[in-house]
Amino acid sequence: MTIRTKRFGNPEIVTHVPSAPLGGGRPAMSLKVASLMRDADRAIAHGARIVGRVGVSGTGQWRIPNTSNAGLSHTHPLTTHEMTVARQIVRLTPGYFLRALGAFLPSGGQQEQEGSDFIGAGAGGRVKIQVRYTDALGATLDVTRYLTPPASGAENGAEPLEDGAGWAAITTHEASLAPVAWGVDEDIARRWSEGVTAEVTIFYVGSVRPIDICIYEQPLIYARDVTDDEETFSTLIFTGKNGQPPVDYPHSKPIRYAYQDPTHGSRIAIQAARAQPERCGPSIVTWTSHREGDTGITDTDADDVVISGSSWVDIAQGTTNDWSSGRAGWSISSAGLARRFYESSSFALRDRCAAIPVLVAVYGSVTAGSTTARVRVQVEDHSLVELSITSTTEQWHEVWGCLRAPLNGEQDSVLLVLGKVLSGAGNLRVRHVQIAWLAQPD
Amino acid sequence: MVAFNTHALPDSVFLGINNGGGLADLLDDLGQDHVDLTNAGGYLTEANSSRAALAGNREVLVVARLNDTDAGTLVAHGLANPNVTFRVWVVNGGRVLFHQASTTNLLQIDLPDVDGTDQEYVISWCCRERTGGGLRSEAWVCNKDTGNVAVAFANHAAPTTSATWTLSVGARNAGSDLFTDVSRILAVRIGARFHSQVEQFEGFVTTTAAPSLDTETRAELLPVSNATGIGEAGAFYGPAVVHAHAQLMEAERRLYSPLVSISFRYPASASDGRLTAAYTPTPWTMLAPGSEELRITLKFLFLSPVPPECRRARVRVQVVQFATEPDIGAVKLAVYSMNRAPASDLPGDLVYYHTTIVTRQVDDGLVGLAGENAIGSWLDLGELKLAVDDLGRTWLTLGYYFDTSEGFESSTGLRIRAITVEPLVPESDEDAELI
Repeated sequence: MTIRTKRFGNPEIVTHVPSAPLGGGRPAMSLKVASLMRDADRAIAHGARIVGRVGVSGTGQWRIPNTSNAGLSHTHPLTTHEMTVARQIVRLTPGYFLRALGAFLPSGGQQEQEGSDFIGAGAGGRVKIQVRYTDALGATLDVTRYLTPPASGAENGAEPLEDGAGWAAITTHEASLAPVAWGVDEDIARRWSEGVTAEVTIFYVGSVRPIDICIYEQPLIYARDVTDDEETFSTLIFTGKNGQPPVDYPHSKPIRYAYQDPTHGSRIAIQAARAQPERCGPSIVTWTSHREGDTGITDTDADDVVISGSSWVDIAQGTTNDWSSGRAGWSISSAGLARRFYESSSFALRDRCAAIPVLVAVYGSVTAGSTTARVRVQVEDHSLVELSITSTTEQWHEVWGCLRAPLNGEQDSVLLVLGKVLSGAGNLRVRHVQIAWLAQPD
Repeated sequence: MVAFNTHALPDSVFLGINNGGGLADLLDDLGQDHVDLTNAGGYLTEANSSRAALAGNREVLVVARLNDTDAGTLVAHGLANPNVTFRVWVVNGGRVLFHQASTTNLLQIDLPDVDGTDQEYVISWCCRERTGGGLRSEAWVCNKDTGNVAVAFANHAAPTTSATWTLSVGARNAGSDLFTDVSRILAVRIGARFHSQVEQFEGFVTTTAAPSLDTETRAELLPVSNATGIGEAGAFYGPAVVHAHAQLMEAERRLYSPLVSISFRYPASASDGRLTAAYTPTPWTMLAPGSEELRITLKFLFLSPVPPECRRARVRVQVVQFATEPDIGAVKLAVYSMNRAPASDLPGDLVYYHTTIVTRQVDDGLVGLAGENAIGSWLDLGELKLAVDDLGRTWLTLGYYFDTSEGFESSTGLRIRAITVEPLVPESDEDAELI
């Protein structure tokens, strides 16, 4: 086994890809060809997909009161109290890992329980983020990280109360959600470079006051065994054993068909160029039902959306309506940058719009047995995907579809997520939605 | 000279178009094979139809004028049950059925707005292979006269098929189950690829006008693999390298995703999500950088990483405006991008940009359910230059202002239902310096 590794984050990654290293009629000089090889690694590093977000999201009050926690009644969260506020399920981009970033106000007052009494326990709180990574073979690896903002020093653990004072009290906190070994062990990095799924759960612990928490992808490390089948690679890794680009390009046999020198040659360049549109695409929707202002101090889960009746109801707005371009919703516009030949070739769609393959994941259930509910994701009258939910156990439900998108973010689009009950006595319950690009159904 | 039809795509193994000549037109194969079907008298057929023996990725599309008394098979590949690769047929009452392998319905759709008069329907059944085995089926029916669409979906096992089975149009095997009036079948296309609903709509219902864009787009080029020989030993070196380079450039922005895209959940307490001239909660609200009017609020503050090379975004907000008085005041809205939080102790000088400040004075309804549940409208705030810190992040927040000057009521309220901030790359972005 000979592992080659590319560590992203090098400043060369974010510089512009040379526009014409290989123009027609020019000699194939070694530097120009080498710049192409570097480009493959750069292209896969050009992402910062936001795959999770939770915070106050337009509401105007905390669930943590500014009043005293010293009474004997239960008025503030317990120091050990955990509330699940968001979940995400993410097919990781090859070579990427997850990172958490949050903006906070100082945490508020907490309590502890002694017998039947609830006593003050100072101010404090934190955000716990659990990630379960699953590799292509089904092996799992769990990571737990915390974001711990400072506690309020004000009386009762109150938030800043003067006009505009909240802005001056903001602190930011972040954490890598990658297992430590991914960055230091090449064998482990190789195993987790392709085909990884991450299930993220975000908890508020105690009396934390997050304004906005963002879970996003950041390129870290891509490793591959040079004796692996080249069709399993998403990028060339144009490096020698020292992790730096080779200095002696071009190779004497530029078209590679032997395993001994895989970083060279047009064969693997073609393969990487073909693989990236198969495996890389945008995150489109990440949504949680959590409403900060409407959540109680003893709640353990995000405030669910419950839908009854046989008419379509918008899961976010609560309104009963069909799709309309004027309605509030999400955007799928920039996903058009991920047009593929298969669905959106100029033969088929003539560069007028795009069709984007997506995986829709809904975390929910029905509230009674023998009930069938349906969730619809729609972007136009003629473009939609649906999934059915019949389980009374809350879990992820997934379905693949192919949705219309504009060509880029300059154009308008409105994506709605609607739900209804088809049959049975129960209701539809939804807490989280995740929609992201996926080339082919699982 | 062969005349090419725009519906003849690279994967079209058969394309028949009825231009008014009935079966005589329809049997003429305008697809890639150019092998015509046989008029069997009242229906079309092709024995040993290996080209239509498609058990994986495929498209079966029929355009027909239908009413609620029609019955019979529109298109089928197979012999007697259960030897059926696919079969699309209609039954009395205005229902279209999609079969494979047996008489059990895989999918069924009630024709939208069907009645006793003939209406034109586009009926599409497309299958996509699943990585774990089996197929994902999408059946999609559009009434071209009314524009209404109906769909059905299923995951199922792939059908058995055989190159010796028969392709039939207007009937099934050996002419059984004849369709009511084959002259009303206007088009049939069979393809070897999954076609999205969008593609069928664009091809057979309405072709969208080409957009005029100021910003860059991307698209995958014609995929080339080693199997095509271009990367193999003995091939020319140059074409493979040039193609790979061109494609990698196109893939460069595949991962661009919204910086913010939220449909805000409607709060249980209607007043909680409102913006008003009281600018509450006041600790959360301050004057926007460089403004004497607009306030920014922690209600709408988002910390977002920005993809490399992205220094522009397009911003839209979905707004409902309402008032307790009949006269509604004007509001101003803009979205700010900052390299750090203003008025904080975070290091570095504050750099900020904002969108165009848009004024809105639209009465969507009275305060309370009637007004706040109004649909409202999307407000295009235009392009936003992004102020990015040295770690590649930007702070995005909403700026808003209520005109409470004399003549306007101070009772105007605003609900922000959604915000989208989408990354852009202008064609020429010379002044988008890295901050």
